[in-house]
Amino acid sequence: MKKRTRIVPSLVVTASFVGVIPACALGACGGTTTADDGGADASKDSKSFADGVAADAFQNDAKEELILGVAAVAMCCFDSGPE
Amino acid sequence: MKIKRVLTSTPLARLHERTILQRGPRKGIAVPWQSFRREKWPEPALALAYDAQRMLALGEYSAVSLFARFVDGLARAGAPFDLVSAATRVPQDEIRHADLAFRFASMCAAREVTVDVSQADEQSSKRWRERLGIEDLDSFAIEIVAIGETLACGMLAACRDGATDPVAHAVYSNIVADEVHHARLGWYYLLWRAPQWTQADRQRVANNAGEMVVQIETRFGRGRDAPKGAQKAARALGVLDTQRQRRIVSDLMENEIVPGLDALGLGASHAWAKRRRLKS
Repeated sequence: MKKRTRIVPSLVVTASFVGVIPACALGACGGTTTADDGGADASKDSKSFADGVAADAFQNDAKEELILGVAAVAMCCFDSGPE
Repeated sequence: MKIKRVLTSTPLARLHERTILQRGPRKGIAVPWQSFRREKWPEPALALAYDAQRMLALGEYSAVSLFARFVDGLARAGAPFDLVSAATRVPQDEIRHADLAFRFASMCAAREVTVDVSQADEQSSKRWRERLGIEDLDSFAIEIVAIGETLACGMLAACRDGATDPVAHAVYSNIVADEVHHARLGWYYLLWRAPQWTQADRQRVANNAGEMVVQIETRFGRGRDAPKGAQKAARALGVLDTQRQRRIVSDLMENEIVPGLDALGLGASHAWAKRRRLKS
């Protein structure tokens, strides 16, 4: 496949905000995932979810998230930035 | 409401033709409309190209009012001037793209083309308030601008890369040249907003992005497949088949969108891992 020009600016992919896990990854949005396929069933414990279960869970993965952000930098050579 | 390509009979129409259609504001290339030879292409390929252009015209036309709402929201929120300024260009780009798509659709179909924007208008009215507040702007920037325009840009670029017909290639080139700026506007908006988010804000935006991310693979899993004997022609007219569409969506998600959202602290890779997957 022909190499594409990057669309997402490199400034974005090098950012490293400490983040959260979206509800859908915990089985709490749109019914797309459930506890059966590894997500927590937030409908049984919506309070704990709202209280930051997702945020706590993310802390364990924080390093992984940062690595992802850095890894993407290598692919930014075609980002010409804003006009 | 049914829309067809109509211009006034005032000098404004000439100005529109000359400065907007022939050469876009971003050093676009002139479209060699006269060079199109409809008889050169098989009917199935023309039918697919027509369908693609008609749907593109609908999407681009609907985006005019949608982005006007985004501009209004940004100005009311006191967003930085560069963001507001960049956003004001988008509605004009979108009407220009709609015009290009209407014209090319008409050439493929050899008749005037009309699209009904009522349903798209109704759906956007349900999803978006008339006046977007700051939380609405976050959602809009995620769904429509950052994710939506990045996908659009990547897929339209793939259409352009396959298009060898001079008109199809020029139409797609002009559109892609603008779309990349639209997509980046969304990402720059998010980069401006991210440091201002509380943990609750970030969770809200992450949920919003995640809901979209889990659906992308299936929502964009089918392209326009030409019958045997018309595949090469369809590609030459800028039609994207299923195989190429899936490849580009996967590439965009895995190499651009998901890492971008992750870097903003929105945990999109968790949602992507839980995505609805294509069966085959």
